[in-house]
Amino acid sequence: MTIKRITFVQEMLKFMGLEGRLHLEWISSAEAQKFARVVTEFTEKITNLGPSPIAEATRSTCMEMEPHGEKRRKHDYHKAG
Amino acid sequence: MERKGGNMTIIKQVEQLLKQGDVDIFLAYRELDGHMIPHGYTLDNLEELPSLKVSQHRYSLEKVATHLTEKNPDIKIGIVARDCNQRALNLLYTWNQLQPENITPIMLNCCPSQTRTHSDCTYLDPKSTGAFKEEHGINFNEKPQEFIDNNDNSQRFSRWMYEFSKCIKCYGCRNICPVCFCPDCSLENPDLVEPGALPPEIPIFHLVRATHMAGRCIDCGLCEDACPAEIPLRFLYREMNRIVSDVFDYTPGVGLEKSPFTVIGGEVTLEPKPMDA
Repeated sequence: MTIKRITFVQEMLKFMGLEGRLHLEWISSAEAQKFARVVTEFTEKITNLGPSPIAEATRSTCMEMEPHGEKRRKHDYHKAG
Repeated sequence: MERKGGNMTIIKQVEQLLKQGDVDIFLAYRELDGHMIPHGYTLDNLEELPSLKVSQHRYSLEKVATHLTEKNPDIKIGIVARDCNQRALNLLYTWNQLQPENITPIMLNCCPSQTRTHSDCTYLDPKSTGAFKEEHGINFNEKPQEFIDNNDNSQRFSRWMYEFSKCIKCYGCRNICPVCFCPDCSLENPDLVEPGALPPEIPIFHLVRATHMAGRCIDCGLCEDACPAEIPLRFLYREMNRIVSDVFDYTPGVGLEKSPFTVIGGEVTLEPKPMDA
């Protein structure tokens, strides 16, 4: 069940454009080395992906919502599609 | 019990159902000042029956039925239904929100097909995309897989953030949704979604709803019709249920099969996705 649910969320994030930021792995409490390896690999992967784009996108959205904001900027949605 | 109905005979059928006591209330539409509004016909207002009209207009009458059943679990309800309504009813049966023995749908014409030219369903008209949107690459009829193929990760992200940032948090999508029935809605939980902010916390607000639509959405399209900001919600929920169909082998509303989200256990042949950096 977990694997199905996580697969769903992974696919959803892919559709949303946040692919690769969720990982599922079975690790027993007796598998310390595996745990260390998986966490290290995933940390590396996330570091390479960089910060989540949500924070940046939310900031620019707030700016746009400000009625008299000087730094009013347009979304870069036109780049998509 | 299921009855077939046409435009002319439906008033007689409803009258008969009410008089025989087969239903306590019949949910349909009536015309009021040129508008079609949902209306409940009962024995007490039989004189209003001639105002019952079948038109292109749609509303989630099943939702009204769910609310009525909540107050009085034994109430017998008649309802005009198209295919989308029938799917919603099936879904509500499997989630124990309605009892099939208490519901009497009268089926109406639905989709135009090669054998049937008549259509009562607004939602089948191909949605037209305005010039501004087309110019910016927004197409309501896009196929989810093409969207993934034609846009990379960051393009998909900025497209959805643009769509979500239009949200005015009117809750129209949730309120119209025939399969939204939780007494406590996550979208109103201040710990999950910060109150008083516009647009609402994105993308969380919309992804919470998208997740809840997985295994529930019967693709009636009312949410997208209701959305004043024209967020392509159907496109989003359709893809959610494409995934559900792939992963869980389940399509909501087509039968009375229990939702896989309510079943614990079961054999799994999936493997975790590899972590390729």
